Amino acid sequence: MKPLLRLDDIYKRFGSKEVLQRISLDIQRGEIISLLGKSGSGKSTLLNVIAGFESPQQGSVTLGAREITHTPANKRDIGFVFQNYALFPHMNVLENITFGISHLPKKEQRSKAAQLLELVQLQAYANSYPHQLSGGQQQRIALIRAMALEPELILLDEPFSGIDAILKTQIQKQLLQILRATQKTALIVTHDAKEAMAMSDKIIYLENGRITQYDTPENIYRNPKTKEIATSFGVANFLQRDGKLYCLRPEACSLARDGEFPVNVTHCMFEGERFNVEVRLQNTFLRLFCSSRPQNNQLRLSIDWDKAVELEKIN
Amino acid sequence: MKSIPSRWVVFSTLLTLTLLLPLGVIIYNALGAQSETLAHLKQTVLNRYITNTLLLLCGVGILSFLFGTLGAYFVTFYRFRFAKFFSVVLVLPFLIPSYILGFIYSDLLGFFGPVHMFLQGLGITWYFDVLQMPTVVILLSLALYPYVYLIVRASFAQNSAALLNPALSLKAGYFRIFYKVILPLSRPAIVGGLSLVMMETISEYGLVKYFGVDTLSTAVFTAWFGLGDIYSAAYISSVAMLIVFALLIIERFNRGSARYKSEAMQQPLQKRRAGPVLSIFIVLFLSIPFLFGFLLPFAWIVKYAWIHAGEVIDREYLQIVLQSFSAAAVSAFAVVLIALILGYSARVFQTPYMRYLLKAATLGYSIPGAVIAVGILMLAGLLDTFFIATFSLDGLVLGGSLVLLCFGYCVRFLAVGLNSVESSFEKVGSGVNKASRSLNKSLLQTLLRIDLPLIRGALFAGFILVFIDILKELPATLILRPFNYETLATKTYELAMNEMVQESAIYALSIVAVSIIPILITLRSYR
Repeated sequence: MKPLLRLDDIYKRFGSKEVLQRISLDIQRGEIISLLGKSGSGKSTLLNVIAGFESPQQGSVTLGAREITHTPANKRDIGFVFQNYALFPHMNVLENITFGISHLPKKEQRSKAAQLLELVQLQAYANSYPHQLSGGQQQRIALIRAMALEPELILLDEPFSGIDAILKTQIQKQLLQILRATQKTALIVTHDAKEAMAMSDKIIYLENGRITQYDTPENIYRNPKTKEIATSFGVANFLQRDGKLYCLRPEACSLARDGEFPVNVTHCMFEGERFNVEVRLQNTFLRLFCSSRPQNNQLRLSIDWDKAVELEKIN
Repeated sequence: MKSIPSRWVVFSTLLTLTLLLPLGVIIYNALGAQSETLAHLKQTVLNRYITNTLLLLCGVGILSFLFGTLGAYFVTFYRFRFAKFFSVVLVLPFLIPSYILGFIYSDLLGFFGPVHMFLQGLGITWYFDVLQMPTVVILLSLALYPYVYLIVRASFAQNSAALLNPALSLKAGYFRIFYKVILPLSRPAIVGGLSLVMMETISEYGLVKYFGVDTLSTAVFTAWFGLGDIYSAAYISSVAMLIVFALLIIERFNRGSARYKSEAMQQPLQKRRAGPVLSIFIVLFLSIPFLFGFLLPFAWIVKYAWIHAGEVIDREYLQIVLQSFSAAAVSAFAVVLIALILGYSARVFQTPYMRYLLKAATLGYSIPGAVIAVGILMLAGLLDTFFIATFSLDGLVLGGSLVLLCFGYCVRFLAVGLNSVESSFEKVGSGVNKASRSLNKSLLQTLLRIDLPLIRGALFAGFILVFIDILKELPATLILRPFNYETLATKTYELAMNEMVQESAIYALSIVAVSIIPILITLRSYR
């Protein structure tokens, strides 16, 4: 199947700082993809290159059948939901939504805006101004403002950064429902691994301007390619063996009478449904979960090597 | 497909090059400059011009530093009677342009002036000569120290408030804190304020001319008008520009790589109560710049404006007001427009190239007005010769036209307009601009429908600031104005030069009255 978006060998530097180093990836129609990485990993720059706010020094961007590497942002047909939403403060909600479709007849603009407002259940706010809306409402208006032009691809830059932690899950769910219902292709930038796992079909992980893994959330969690990915997506233990570096999720470790390694329990926290236990194996500290409090400080650790993942050593 | 530079970048580049052209012509003329006059100048007076200029710089620098920094220090860190009053009125000397201050004091201290008459009344017949360097230094400092005061006060308020309490908790004494923490942290602000003062000092024309102190700025005039020698004018201008560049470089290096913005939380500053002796000292000290920089000269202006109002306010006065205002308004509009184009391009294309371009475009702000004016006349001369030769015209196209004056103001004051544009864009943030472009609007559409409505207010404030600066400008106006074209500034100057200082009061008052507007704006934004 032909991908909707193809990045081929994208290279970008600012001065002497190489921000994107040979990025290639495909996104298929209808997929919801998360772009994850620490701050400074290049994810914002990559998003800007796709949207057309930055030009790469090398490589190409292809949307559908069109090569758009140097096409100006206003001729790309890519929607963008900005961090903090960037609603136009001097226009009301209706004017914000119809801003991009001002070339259509007035009547059509209105009916389209009404449809979109209904989609996000904010019909009552057509005449409100952005500052009168809550963060979640602003986010949905920003989303339908981008959708009004019916872009093939929607980019979302940290869409939940301004939202209260308590409301976050609910608003994530709403956003996901809207995107799925309209069968949009979306690329969501985030630095929150939980968010990425909850929202997306696949996750792109960016480290120092390189893609180190591009996979489904399950695979990324179970088979992380790098140390950084392993720690980003959950509790991870690292163990050197035969000159190789392994990642062990807590599930791969257990305390047993006949375990292969003698360990000391150094810390134990009760977390309700389980005990979060830290043990020391020679110079390494490992974390694992137990259903009961370890009775003894001198125990043996058993490792399920089938669940261990060998990491790529990249620097 | 290759990326091509945007029209906006190309256009900005062309605008910047145009603004830099007068400076380029000067340097070009100065490089191969050789004339008998120049040789003579070099042998005789040039050294004195340079020495005088440097002496002025030192003197005004030291005095402005004292008034500005100590004023800001007392007002920020101490509680004393009239503290609030002084924190506001210390800005007021900004209202009175330095050349007007000069005329007033020459009248006050002159042979028939009140000071001398008073002394004579007491039976003292000693007469002191005021036409001297120290007077110029003091007067210029009185007119210019508010630059230092405003910038340093803002820096004190921003950094020190957050660091004073931690420093106190570490049991450091007040003096040690000031010396070790506050002063070093505010160094870039002090140097920044001082460099503005020094640029203005180099540019100063009316005051130094009136008191007969020959500086590079007056020498440029003499070379151009008195001697009619292009090469001498270009050469002297280049020397002045060299000093300016040296100052700019010092200022840049001074900032270095250290960080001067405290990340610490802003805390309300616990002001220290000044004891009775200190209180009296502070009030006396702060009264000096307020009294002599504002109150006394202002009272003088009002008095003589009142006395001469009947005879001076006539058709001519109204015509001059109208001329000044229209020239200033048109020029300020042009400045804001250019600033908008450059600022917007830099907002959209955030490249090092655009950053340097903006730096280059605003260079004129630090170049003396006389130098810019002479550069423009040289350029106009070249262009007119070219026009006459190519189109076989029989008159000058540019020479003596208002276009030159307007262009001169643009070169000199673009920085003021650009400053407003850039800071308001920064406040708005780049999100809305990108959002509009992602909604398929072109850069121009985005500017007109999103950015412009959002920064309208700030743009207007910028327009007013530029407008006032133009109204007050003297040297470039004197050189570039069309024949017999008077503005408020030139008329004030001319009356004063023709021994009619008191009759000039009404023109001076008009300038001062209009200047109140930016003071109000500044006060509001610094509070």
